[in-house]
Amino acid sequence: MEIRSKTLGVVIAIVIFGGIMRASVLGFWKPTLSKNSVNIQANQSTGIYDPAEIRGSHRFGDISTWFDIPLEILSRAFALPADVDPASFQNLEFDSIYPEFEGEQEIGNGSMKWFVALYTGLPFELEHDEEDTYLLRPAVDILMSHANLTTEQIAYINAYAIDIEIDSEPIDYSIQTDEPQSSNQAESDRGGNADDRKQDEMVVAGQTIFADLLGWGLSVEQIEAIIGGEIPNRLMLVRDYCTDNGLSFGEIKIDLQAETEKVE
Amino acid sequence: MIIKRSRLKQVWPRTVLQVFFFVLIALIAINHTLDGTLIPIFSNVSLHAVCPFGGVVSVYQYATAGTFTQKIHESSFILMIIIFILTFLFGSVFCGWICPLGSVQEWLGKLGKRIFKKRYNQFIPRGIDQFLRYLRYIMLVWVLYMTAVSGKLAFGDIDPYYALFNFWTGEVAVTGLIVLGITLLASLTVERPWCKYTCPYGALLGIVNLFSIFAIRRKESECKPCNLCTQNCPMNIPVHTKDVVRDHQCIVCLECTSEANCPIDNTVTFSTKGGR
Repeated sequence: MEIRSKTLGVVIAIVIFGGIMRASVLGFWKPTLSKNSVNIQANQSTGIYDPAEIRGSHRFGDISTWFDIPLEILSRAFALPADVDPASFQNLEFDSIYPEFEGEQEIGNGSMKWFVALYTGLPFELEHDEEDTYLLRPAVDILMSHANLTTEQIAYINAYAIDIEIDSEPIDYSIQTDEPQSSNQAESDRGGNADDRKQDEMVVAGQTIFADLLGWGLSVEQIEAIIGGEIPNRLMLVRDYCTDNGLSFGEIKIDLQAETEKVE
Repeated sequence: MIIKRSRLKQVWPRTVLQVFFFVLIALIAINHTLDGTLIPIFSNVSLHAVCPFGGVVSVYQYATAGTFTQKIHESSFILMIIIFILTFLFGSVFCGWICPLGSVQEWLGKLGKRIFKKRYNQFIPRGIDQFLRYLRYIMLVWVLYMTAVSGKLAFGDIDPYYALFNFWTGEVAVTGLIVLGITLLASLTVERPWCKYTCPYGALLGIVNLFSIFAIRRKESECKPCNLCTQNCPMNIPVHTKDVVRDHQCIVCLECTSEANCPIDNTVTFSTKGGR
């Protein structure tokens, strides 16, 4: 059988648009973001979720569960109106509650990823198309109060903060934290807030430095066996070491925590 | 019977579809930039949602985790299936009839032909050219692997198709704009350079070309040694030496057929085995 160009053109158009129509009738044609939230998967070896996996369809309630962030914190960080149910609010709905910001400032899904990463201390990098991502001032205040940020991070989030007026009652940011204590020198280097930390807990987290691990009783050999190299500086963040050396902080953290618990 | 053909008897239906899909994709991109306000019927569909290659790179994640790669939607999967069906039937018609990036390269190529005359599309020595044509398989493997391990569109930052329809948005990586610029400039000297040497989706569809139901077939007994079929092939396939064109680079443009540049009726046709 021979087919000529006119027939071929018609057949191509019919197959494509007929296929789309058929898929549409069957409910499979979904070219826009689904309103149905799709669960993200925790890393199989570490059990940790990745902030980069957060999508526009995810609800605040899901994010709160996955990343263990109180729903109230998320609600305040993103200044949700009082009449909005935070548990069912989706990231893709940000446009509906915020006014137009100046220039290319944007509060969107990237803002949520960024906030979650800083709040939890999980590694994360904004993607290229998220470079105009900003945080609302309440989110920055919460992070300043709660998260263990480096001086560089503090300067950065302040530069990318959008001031907004909030009608609701004043916000209490005095949130308790489970982050471990670090050495005083490192605290000043990081611009951290040591007073907020529970000093007795030996939990490996984003702000843990090598000196912390040594202070908890781990030997240099034990640590170096896990990180696969020499400790370059005892005041260095374990997370920064992992980033510099292309290691997964999540995995190293698990191993170090296991070793710490043996010491305990 | 020898028939002299005018330009009007060229494969115009292909041009019509190329223009149609270029305009359609451009409108979708502009509409998305305007948050879906330009053409409400399109909703706020993004370019990723109407790219079948997005479905291909999501297959691994969908099979292992039940989720799509970021920015990819169910529609990409549907289009992937539709394009595979078309390719099994007719070969890489997506490349030759639908892909807007291929069309743009082709249109620029017409300008290149005016500038370089017969030297156009002949600049790269055959030995090097043949080697370079397998680069797109390396690209395909790299894209599939990186997307599978990262769960993100690994191809996004160098994708000239995305850059072409989003260069005004500020969402395109500099690398994407550079690749687009190189592709467009190269199109003035080489026919469809991105398709020939780099396109990962073209590489995948090209494999299906090897066993599609319809193919370009040449009736040797009626063929005269004019070589017009080979000379007019944008992908430099030596059609005049083959009975059946089973080439991974064929884009089914039909320029070699008796409907277009072959001067003898029913000698080079697009047909099934045994079909004339």
